[in-house]
Amino acid sequence: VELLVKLLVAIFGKLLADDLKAWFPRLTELLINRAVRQLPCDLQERYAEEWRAFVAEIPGEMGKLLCAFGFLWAGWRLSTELRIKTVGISTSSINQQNVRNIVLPEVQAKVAKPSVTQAYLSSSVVIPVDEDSFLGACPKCGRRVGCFDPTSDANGHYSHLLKYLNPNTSVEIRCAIDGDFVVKVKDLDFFTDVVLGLDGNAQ
Amino acid sequence: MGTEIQPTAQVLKVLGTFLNNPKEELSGAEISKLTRLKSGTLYPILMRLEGAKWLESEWETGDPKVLGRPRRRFYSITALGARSARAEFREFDIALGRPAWNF
Repeated sequence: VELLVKLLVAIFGKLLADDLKAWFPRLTELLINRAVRQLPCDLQERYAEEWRAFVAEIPGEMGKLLCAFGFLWAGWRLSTELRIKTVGISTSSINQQNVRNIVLPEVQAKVAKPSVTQAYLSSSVVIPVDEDSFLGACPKCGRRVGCFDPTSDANGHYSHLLKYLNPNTSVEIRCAIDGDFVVKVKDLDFFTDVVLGLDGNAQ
Repeated sequence: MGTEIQPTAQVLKVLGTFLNNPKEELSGAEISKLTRLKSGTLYPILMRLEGAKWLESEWETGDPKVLGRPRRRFYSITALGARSARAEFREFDIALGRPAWNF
């Protein structure tokens, strides 16, 4: 019986090891994809290729897997470092109560003629917007930007902001960090500040 | 990207590698091998150094389909990077009371 158990362990152990080994490349790829997804859209393509090339140079499947775990950490570190350097809107950190107070004075202070701004903002369509999302979706990865829930817009801030950030605005949206988004009005620095104001003051 | 570089031991390792191979373009894997830094530590450093324009990088020439693998990204040190790195090493050596490194 003992011999039989040993034999079975040896056979199944080998099978299990082979099976695991066969899964390593897929796991490695998954980890790299996960790591890359933490990065801003404009860096994702670059690091995906770079990190795959890196892994390809590592001998052994286990080494590749460990290296991919390292990229997960690297992705997190990179995104954390970029977080303080980009304008991010966190879906959880916006206090709608402050939105009107922040946005209006900022816009009025920085733009002498709001009507001109309005005209400019509605001059081109950049963002694909669906019914549920407020700002739209990241044009590259398609992740949706849902900063505000219109159904809980008790103070009308959603509708107020929609005036400025509507589907017709020339706003560039891209994913910055997991759960965060960069919103920038092309050629209009002030609007970035407005958005920064939203993020920076909404605690 | 910011331009402030904190000269940590790992950053100095990376810079030292480039100063020892000033004309060489190194891939991430090669830098990792030379510095013995793991990928998770290395890439944030590379990103910071590139952001500060101490390093620059470019893709390996060639089509990935022809190469049969993803293209590598090669890093090299810039003139600004070399100057700044030497200054960092001088300060580091002075702080340790050692004769300055001679790159």
